[in-house]
Amino acid sequence: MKLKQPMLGLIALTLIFIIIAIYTYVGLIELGIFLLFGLAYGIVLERSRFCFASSFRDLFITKDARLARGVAAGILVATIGFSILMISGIRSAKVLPVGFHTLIGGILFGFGMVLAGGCASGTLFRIGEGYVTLWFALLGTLTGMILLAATWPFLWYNYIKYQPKIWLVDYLGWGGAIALTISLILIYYIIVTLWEKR
Amino acid sequence: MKVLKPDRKLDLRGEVCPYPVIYTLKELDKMKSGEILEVITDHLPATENVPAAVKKKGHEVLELSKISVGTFRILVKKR
Amino acid sequence: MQNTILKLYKKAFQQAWPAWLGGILLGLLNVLEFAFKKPWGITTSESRWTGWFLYALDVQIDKAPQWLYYQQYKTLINPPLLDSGTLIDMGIIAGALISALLAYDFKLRVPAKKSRLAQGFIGGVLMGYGARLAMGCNIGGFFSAIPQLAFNGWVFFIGLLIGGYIGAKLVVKL
Repeated sequence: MKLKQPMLGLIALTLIFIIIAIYTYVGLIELGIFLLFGLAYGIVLERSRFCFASSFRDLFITKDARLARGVAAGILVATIGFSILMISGIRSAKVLPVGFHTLIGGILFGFGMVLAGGCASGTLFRIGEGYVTLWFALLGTLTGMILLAATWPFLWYNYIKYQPKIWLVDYLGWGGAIALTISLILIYYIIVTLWEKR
Repeated sequence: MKVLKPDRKLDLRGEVCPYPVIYTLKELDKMKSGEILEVITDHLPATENVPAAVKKKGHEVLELSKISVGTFRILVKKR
Repeated sequence: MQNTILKLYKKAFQQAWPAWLGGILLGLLNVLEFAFKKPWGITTSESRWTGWFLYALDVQIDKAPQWLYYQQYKTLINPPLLDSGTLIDMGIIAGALISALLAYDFKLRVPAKKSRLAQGFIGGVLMGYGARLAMGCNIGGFFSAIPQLAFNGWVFFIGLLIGGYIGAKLVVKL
C-alpha cells in the first residue's frame, strides 16, 4: 500500500521519457530537452519547497529568511553563469523596457502572489502537488493576462513603447555591472539574515 | 516511547501558507504554559515553517511526524 | 547497485531539501537553459495559452489592432505542442507531481474555508496582470533578469518587496 504512490510516480516519469523520446524521434530533440528542463525545475521546486511568495512574505510575517537567502543564492549562481555566457559572446542579454509599469507590475505581482499563496513557479508546482487553491490561482492568472492583453495597446502606445531598455553593462562596463549586481545580492543576503536575527 | 496527550488540537488540513503558522501561533497564545498543542497539516512547507516559527517564540517542538499521505502531525509544548 | 539506488531515493525523497540547495540548483539549471537556448521564463507562454483560447473562440488576435499584445509575442507562430515555454511549464507541473508521488506526498488539498479559493483566484488575476505589465514574472522578470544584468530586474524586485509587504499585512487578517 505504501508503495502505491511511488509506483505511480515511476510510471508517470516513464511516460514523460516516452514523450521526450517521441520528440527526439520526430527530429524535435530541442523540444524534448525543454520538457526535460521543465521536469528538472519541477522536481527541484517541489523537493526544496521553493516558494518565491514565501521568500518575501515570511520576511514580514515570521521574519524567516531561509527562502530569501535561497533566492539570493540562486540569483548569485545565475549571475556568475550568465555573465560567463554573455562575456564569451555565446549568449546575449534580453533587456526589457523599464519604467513605472515595471514597478507597478512588480507591486501587483508581489501582492497577488502573497494573496494566492504561490508565485508563477509556485502555482505550477503546487498544482502538481494537488493544491486546489492554486488551480484557481492559475485560472486567475490567465484571466489577468487577458485583461492585460485587452488594455495593452493603450499601455504600449502611451507609455511602455517610450521606456528605455537599461542594460547595466552599457553604463558600467562588464566589471562594474557584475560587481554592482553581485554586491547588491550580497547586501540583500546580509540584510535579510540580520533582519531574521533581530 | 511515552505517548503524549495533547491538550488542544488544531486541524489545518487544506490551509496553505501563511495560515498554518498564523493559526498555530494564535492557538498557542490562548493556551497555558506547559500545555501541549497538536497541529495536523497537509501543507508541505508547514513542516518546516511551523516548527521554525514556534521555536522562535520560545515554545518547544515535541514531535514532527508523517501520519499519512502528505499529512503531518506537529506537537508543540507551550512555553 | 540496487541498494545504492534505494539509498539515493530515500535521501532525495524522504525529506525536503534545504532552501539554499534548491536556490543553487535552480540557478544552475537556469544557466544550463541559457547556455542551451534562453533564460528560464514562465508567464510568456501562459499568456500565449490565453491567446490560443481567444483564437479558438474566433477572436482575431492575429490581425485586430486591439490584440496587439498577442501579435508582439508571436502567439500563433507555434502550436501548443511546439511551444518551448509551454513544455517547460507542463514539465514543471509533471515534475512536481512525480516528485510528490515519489515522496508519498501527493494529495488533493481542498481548503476548508471556501473563501481561500476566491483568494487564490483574485491573487492570480493580479499576478497575471502584473507579470505581463512588467513583461516578466518572478522568474523571467526577476530570477532570470537580474543575472542578465538588466535594470528592469531590480525595479521589479523593489515592486515585489512593496507588494509582498502590503500582501503580508493583509493576508494575516483574512
